[in-house]
Amino acid sequence: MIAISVKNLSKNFEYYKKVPGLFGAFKSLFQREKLITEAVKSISFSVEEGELVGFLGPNGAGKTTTLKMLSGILYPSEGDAKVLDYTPWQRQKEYQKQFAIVMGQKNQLWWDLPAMESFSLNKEIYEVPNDQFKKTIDYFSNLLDISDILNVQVRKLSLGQRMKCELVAALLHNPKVLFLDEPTIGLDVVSQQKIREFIKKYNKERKTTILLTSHYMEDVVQLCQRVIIINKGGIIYDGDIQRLIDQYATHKIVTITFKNDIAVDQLTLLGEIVEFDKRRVVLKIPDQNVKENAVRILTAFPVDDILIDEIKVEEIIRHIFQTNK
Amino acid sequence: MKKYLKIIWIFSKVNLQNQMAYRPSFFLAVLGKATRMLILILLFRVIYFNTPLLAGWEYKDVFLLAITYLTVESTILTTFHRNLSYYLPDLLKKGDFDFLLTKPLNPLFYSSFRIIDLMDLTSSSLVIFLWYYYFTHYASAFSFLSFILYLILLGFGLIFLFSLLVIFASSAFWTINATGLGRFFEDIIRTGRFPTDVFKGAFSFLFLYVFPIATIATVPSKAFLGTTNWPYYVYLVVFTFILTLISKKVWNYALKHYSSASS
Amino acid sequence: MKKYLAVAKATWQEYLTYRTNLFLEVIGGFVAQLVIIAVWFSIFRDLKTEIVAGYSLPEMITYLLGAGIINSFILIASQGDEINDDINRGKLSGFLVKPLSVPFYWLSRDLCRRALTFILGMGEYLVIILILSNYFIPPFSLANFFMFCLAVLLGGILHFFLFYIFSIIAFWMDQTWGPRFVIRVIMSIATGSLIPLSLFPANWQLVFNLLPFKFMAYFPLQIYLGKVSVSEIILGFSALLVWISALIGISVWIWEKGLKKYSAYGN
Repeated sequence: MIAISVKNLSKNFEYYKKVPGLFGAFKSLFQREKLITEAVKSISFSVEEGELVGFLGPNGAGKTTTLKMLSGILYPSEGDAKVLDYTPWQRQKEYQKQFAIVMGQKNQLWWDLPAMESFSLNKEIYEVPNDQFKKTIDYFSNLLDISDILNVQVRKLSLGQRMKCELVAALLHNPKVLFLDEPTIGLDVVSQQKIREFIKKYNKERKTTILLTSHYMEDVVQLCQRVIIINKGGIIYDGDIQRLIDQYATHKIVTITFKNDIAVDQLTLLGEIVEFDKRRVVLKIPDQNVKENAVRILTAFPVDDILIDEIKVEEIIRHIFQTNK
Repeated sequence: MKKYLKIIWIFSKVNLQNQMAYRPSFFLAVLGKATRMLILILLFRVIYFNTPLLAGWEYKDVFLLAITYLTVESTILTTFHRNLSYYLPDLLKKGDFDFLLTKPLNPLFYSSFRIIDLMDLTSSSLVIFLWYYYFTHYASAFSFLSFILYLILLGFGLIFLFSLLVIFASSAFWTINATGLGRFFEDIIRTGRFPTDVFKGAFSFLFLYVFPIATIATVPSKAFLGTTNWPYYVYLVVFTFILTLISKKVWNYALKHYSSASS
Repeated sequence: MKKYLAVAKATWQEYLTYRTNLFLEVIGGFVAQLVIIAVWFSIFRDLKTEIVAGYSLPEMITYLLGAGIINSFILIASQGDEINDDINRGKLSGFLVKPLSVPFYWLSRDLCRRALTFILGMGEYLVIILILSNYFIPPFSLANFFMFCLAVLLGGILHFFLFYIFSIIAFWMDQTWGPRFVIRVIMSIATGSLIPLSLFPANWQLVFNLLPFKFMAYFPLQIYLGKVSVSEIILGFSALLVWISALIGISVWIWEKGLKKYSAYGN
């Protein structure tokens, strides 16, 4: 079953050009130049029930705008979207009870109070029955290891603990669809990993459809099979993440450390030079030539150490964004 | 309905905890608010120290007017006034209004009652004492019916203020720094603490019909004291009804604007 | 001096962006004052007398209009919220590393805001003064007018230091608006801007005379209307200067203690 379907969805923002200075401000009273940004440009995709899809893109690509439209916060300029057969921006209560959104840069918990208070508010708002509420809290306390911080003021929590509580607040009503906007932003590596593990497990156990945006590659690589890459408002890739890697990882990265100083021009024939620093060089070599060239390097130069790596996913994505400019 | 009452209960409980966390400020605030109420009474005392009548009102009647005004003021301060005037612009500024739109709860309800101010509720106990004082010292015989009428008129006054404030607050969706409007609103409301009979001519018309500040205290107090004006009540009902409709339209328009313009 | 002018200039620009808010705040106070004026018109009409409590109608109207203008200079100030926030949110650290006296920085910002609300208030009241010109009396004498202006300016400084003291106790407290709120409430009646203090019963007047608030409206307006003798003026100014010096003294003492605490524990 299809949980989310988006057809030719567009969002334009209008704003007026600001002219600096007093005279400019005066002039703009009478005459203003209207500018339009196309934040999302006619995108289409659909997500199956239970799928965990990653939304990738640089800042300002249109990820958050898309999520906001799917949550009913924003009206689209054009196009259509259905989530669980509801049109999000009609903001029907029936729909609102079945989804949740978590935004890493904003918090919905009461700052000066323990998270538990915010949970009980959400319990009433979403009309969660008492016993289910209790069970859910227990479940999350165990899973996220937060039972001892539920009664601590939110402002005294670390960023990671706070994000865990944000997630619980959003999941209390057991939503069928979950939008996660940069859930790991600003967290340290360990906390990031914990949040990721939780999302993965939760998706598996509850079969919740999750749409996740992030600009941390690790989030997407670890969590999602399918990735939608968006840049400048348009979708530039939608599909399996492994296929993406296969398609673009046509090169390997070879890092060599020499015993003596080496002149750079001796290496240009062997591959594209990424970095060069007298005794250390990083080369990008096409897959089919790696073996052969490695042998040549080892025999022709005084090699101290040689490393052959896959191209990082970050590199691939960066490459895609650059070629799409 | 039950859900909404429950949520108001949580809002009050939560805010009490919040404010009690800063105990010295809490007690000083309650003290200050109570003093502010007494200062209104003091102001009238000083005025009547120098004159026996103010626009036909005796002191004991003005006392009723003053406590009526204080009752209305406490009610809106405890509930929606600050929510709409100050906290809503703040929500919009921080972008947290987004969450409100995703919840199965009326956004206007949420924006209006999110923070129930227990400081004001605490200081309102003084209003109860003033009512007690009024009944034991000044009140002459009054009919049960006029009391009912008084309450109904008070209700219309509150609806008038709420609708007005919703219209004011909607502007926050365009100009994020709309806190000046809140202060302005407070000052406008404060004109209601004097009998509107002091105004003559065009001003009298203004405060009775165009911008019926008289509904806050003067009109209900007069009804309580037995002076009724039925044609005016009809006008008031129609006026409040139309203003409420307008405020609803304006609010929806503002929400629509938010959803199509914010980023 | 030059750097504080630069601060003032930047502040001016900053506040100009909030001009709608400031304007609304000033106009709100203006409306409130007009209502009081209507009350007195009504009282004089009903009593059918020339003089109430020593005031003729034009004197009373002039008093209230003058009080309104003074309010836009004194009462509608930022009242220390900013100072409190600077200390509690740790912004102060950023100022302390600069070659700048932080209290003077705050003072120049405060005066700037006062100047702006004063200009806005002046504009509004001038319209009403024109409309009510039959009831508006000019200052008693030129000398009285100058002393009036001086008294208002000193009243503003007194107001600043009073709220300054109750803001920098933020070094010890999380929130300082509680005491400042109480002062504001008392001030709403004790400055005499709603009603001349001489209209109060005698024992109340005694209390008001002991407080500094009468210098923020009542005292300058008495000078303006020529209702005080020369000796009373001298006595008043002396008391005003004593109050200001005392508050400055206390504020310097608290500031130094506070800074010590701030740098010892950080924030």
